[in-house]
Amino acid sequence: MELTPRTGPESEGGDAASAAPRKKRRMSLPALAVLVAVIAVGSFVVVQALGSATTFYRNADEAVAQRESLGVKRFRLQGTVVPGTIVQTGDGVTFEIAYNGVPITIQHVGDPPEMFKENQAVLLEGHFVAEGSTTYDSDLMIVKHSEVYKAEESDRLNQAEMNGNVPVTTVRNGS
Amino acid sequence: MSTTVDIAQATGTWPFVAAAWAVVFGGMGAYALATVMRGRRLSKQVPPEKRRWS
Amino acid sequence: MTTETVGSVEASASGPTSTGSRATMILGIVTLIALGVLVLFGLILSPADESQGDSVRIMYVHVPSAMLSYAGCFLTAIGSAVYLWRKSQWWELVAYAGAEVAALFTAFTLITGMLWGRPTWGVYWVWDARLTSEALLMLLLLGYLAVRRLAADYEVRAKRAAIIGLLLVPNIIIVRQSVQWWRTLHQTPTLSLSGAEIQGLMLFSLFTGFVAITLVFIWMVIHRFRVAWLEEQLEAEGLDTAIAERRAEGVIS
Repeated sequence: MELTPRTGPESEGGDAASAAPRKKRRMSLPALAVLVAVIAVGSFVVVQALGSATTFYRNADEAVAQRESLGVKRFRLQGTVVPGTIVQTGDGVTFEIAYNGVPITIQHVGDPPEMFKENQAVLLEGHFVAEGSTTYDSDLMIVKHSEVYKAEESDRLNQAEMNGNVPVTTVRNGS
Repeated sequence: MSTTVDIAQATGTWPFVAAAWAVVFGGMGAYALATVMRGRRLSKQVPPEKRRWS
Repeated sequence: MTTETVGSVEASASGPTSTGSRATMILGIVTLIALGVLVLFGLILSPADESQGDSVRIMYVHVPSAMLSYAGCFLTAIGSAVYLWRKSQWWELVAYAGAEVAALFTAFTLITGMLWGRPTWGVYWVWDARLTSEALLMLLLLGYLAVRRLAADYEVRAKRAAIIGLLLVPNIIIVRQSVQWWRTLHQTPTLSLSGAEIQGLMLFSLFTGFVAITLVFIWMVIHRFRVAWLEEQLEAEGLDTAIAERRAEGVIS
């Protein structure tokens, strides 16, 4: 390709669009269709790849159900901190989390994040202490926030609802 | 015995808020300034009839 | 400085000497007022969040930055498509301007998100689907800009960049939907068609953020487009800098 001027040297007037080169061939419609198809397939592959790599965490009830196969393998665990279970220890904190009413006892080593509190959804990294156990050793804790915002001054009645889109117990009965 | 760890209120998050807003406002200001300066420099090189806004 | 001010006053006689125009000047003033209102509501008048405390204020710049980075990507994708279809240089320059501004706002989104994550999650970064796909978007935009600026023939780099520009759309859809499709640490959108999980002054501050950052975005795209336009005029004319400088100094009049 040559660096020839795209408009005639003395070309005058015309709006911005018409200053675009006219001599170049346009992209043919079939070629454009192929391009669109390639993009569609490519994005599908990306979605699939991301999806399989994105079982980012297991909820407490799933982890308990799969505890035989999980063994002492490392995985991420999510649940809501059960009120009244938080106990400070020498090197961290122990507490219970629950999801869908299934509790797991957490032995966390390290300082909990600043926003860690009761009824807060948390994400933990670690493993069950032994095969088939429902006690979990954690060394990384991340506080999970919901999409709900509420002014600090207002009442704290809905505190539990606020801190996660996560039901602590299931109270679903048809109606 | 259970302890609720709730030190968020005590420490405060203003340093993070200030940093975030500084990045956005500083970044927008710097980019705007750079773009305007670039435009002025280039305008001098392009013949007047090729500039199409007023 | 003074000569430039004089120049802009006399712009009507010899063509504008900057990328500014009367319209963009008015837009710029309105934008600055809107940014002032955003600071007033976002940092002063709105309350702290019950759960997150003051770090909620980061949202008022984070979420609008993300939205406008998507807008920039869509602009780039549309411009790229029209360029590939009709070889319209005007649309190619729109795409280029959109991509650069989108990259700026994507960077804002990532940085403010990290600064929000540290006090609220406890970590700056996790590789969940939302954060990973957003990082991917940043890379794609940087790729676009790199390809667009390659030292190649205009037609070649514009075409290659336009193809990357089209890829932005699926990437945005993945970013946007990642919190619905997969389990992520990042929360789902606060604002949706089914309603807002935020009220009062907090909602108003977020709204102010959208307005102010949108105005900034429009101003930036217009100016960046004009810079790109000037660049391409220079290149198309085949003028070297020396000749151009002489002309600017008033040899022609």
